[in-house]
Amino acid sequence: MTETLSYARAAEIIAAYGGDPARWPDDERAQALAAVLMNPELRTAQLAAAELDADVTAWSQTPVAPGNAIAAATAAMRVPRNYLRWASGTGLAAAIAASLIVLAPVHRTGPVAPVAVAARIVVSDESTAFTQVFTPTPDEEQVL
Amino acid sequence: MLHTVETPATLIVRVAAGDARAFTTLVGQLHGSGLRIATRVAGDRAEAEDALQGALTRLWTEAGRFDPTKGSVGGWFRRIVVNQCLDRRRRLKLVAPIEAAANVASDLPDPFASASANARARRVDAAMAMLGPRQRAAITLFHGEGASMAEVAAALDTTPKAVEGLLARARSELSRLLASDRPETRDE
Repeated sequence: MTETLSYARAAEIIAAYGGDPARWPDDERAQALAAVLMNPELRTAQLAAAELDADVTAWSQTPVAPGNAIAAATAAMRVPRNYLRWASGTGLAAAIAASLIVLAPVHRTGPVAPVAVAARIVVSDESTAFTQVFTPTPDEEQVL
Repeated sequence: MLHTVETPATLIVRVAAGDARAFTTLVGQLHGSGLRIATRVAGDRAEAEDALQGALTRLWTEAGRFDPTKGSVGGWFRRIVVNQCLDRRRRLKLVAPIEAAANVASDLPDPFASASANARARRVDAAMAMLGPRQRAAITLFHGEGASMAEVAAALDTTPKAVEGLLARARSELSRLLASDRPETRDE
């Protein structure tokens, strides 16, 4: 035997989904139908909803004068494919970060180790040589 | 001779790779429904065409972001179209009075065909103009495009439960407007 929904839930379904049971939620359809059969008010609501369905469906599906799809496609392709990526927040952030990297040496204010210091670095073994040569200064760390 | 079927799913992959011919073919498949949805949601042909053009530009530039595991190309494009319409409405804050909506020219090819049906359609059109754009979008997608509640929710960036409420309020308001606009209730 099919268990019926509450009157309120069946009314909610009709109000939102309309009068066609085929559009009702799959898991509640049978119960809602049983509720409608048992309650004349719900049956009246379903019939009124079906009338409105016809109006909104006709409104939604009324054909519109066709546009020019080829012209629209051509116009869309005039925009560079990476344009929106650069216009987006991520793109702007990346652009700002890149400009900082380029401009940062110009505005450097702190002391910078002279080249002669680097020349005096003694490389103890091969495993640490890379880190010694490429250890950034505090200014460079800020930039990186 | 073997013809390969150019479905939206296969075309979008080529569009993502920059294939202009595939894009033109895909636009040919999506343009009609996109224009219909945009016209219904925007409530204005020129506005709809601008919104659709914005959606097509996004389709071209962001095809690589389409995720087939999250739905169909058509559903993804509907979502872009609806968002374009809603964004434009938010920016422009257009308000269409019901009187103006009643004077909007019909989009039907033959303005003299089915006069009584057109009269009813114009009344529905005028009532629809009184609804919010999100309500029109929900009705257009659910009733016009046959989208499921989950698909409507995805297009509107909300939950199916919220769309239920949105549709219920829209339909209730529409019933009230149509009842108050019945010819027998007018003074004329």
